[in-house]
Amino acid sequence: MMAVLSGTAAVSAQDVDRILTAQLAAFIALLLAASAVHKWLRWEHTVEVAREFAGIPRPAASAAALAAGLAECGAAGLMFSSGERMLGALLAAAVLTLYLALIVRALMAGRRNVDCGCSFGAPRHALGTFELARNAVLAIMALWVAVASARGGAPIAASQILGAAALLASYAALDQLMGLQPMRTGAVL
Amino acid sequence: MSFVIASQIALWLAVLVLGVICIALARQIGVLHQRIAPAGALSLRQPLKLGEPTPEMSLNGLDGATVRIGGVRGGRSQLVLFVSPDCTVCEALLPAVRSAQGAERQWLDIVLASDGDPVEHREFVREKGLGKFPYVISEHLGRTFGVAKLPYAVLIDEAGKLTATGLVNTREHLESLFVAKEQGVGNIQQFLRSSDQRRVSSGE
Repeated sequence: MMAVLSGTAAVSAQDVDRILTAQLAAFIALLLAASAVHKWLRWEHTVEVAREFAGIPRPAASAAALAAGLAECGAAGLMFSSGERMLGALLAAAVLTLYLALIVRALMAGRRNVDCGCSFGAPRHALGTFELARNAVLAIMALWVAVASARGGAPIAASQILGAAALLASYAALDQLMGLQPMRTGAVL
Repeated sequence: MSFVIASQIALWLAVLVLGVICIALARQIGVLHQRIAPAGALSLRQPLKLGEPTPEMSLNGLDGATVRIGGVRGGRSQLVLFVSPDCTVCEALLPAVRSAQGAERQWLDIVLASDGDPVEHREFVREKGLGKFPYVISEHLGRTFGVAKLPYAVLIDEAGKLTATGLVNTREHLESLFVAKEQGVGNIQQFLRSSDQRRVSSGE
């Protein structure tokens, strides 16, 4: 079996796998928790997105927004626990796949300029490849965590929470950058 | 704490700090975008109003081919750019026009227009490598669109309607016409007026 040397102790590939899975789980959990907090802080906007983007009728829009926030919170909480990580990751994958399906539906209907509520900042550009790829990658990551945690996961260490915060900061930075007004193509003289 | 864990924490901290710096920079760029008024083509007093159908004209190009200006154009828009061989700003704008011809080729045809001595214009086309553009010489065309200063651009949509127009001194001015068409705003004056109205209505 391949072994990775770490300082003086040899770490097996299985250990590396468990450490990476825990790191990824911490990142997805933190991202979902941040998303739930964002929904709560901008509650009226969230309900509007549920109505306009998801097409949920006005009376049910608040309940749907609340359900989405609770699902994100639940998935985040379960993923932090090593014993319930698989269940949390499956719930996270389901939520992320639902968001992905809504984006695909909007794009297929030609509603590129609709506010998907899938950005931490104010949306300033149309839906497109970036949103599709981002949600697909996140859903795949959550599924991978679920599969890798089937036989139990490693507990999340404090340094991994720091790592998850760093990854979340990088994600938010990319989110901000992609929210900027793009230059027109052919800008090179 | 082992050296490996300590260095891992230090590295994650570095990534975290870099991430936060990137967020701050991206936010700052966003704020600057919002604060700086867009560079748009200044629209001058003109005989045709925005949204009105443009008269259809068939003119002879410098190469002898017939060039159709205005009218319904089968799903393609048309940019008529008025230039002159002795206009230095027009000359400086030509690389941006070539670039726009490539970048916007899916929906846009560009026609160069001017008036005066054809010999002088042929020399201009040869010297500046403008052979790829239809080039018409017509004083009547300039009068129709109320061209008083150069370089001046007129964007006609696929239905033959006047969509955007204005003085285009820079690449930003030229591209502002395309953005104006996409956003349904005729010129920089209209855009600034609508921005002011939005600010007032949102209480900013």
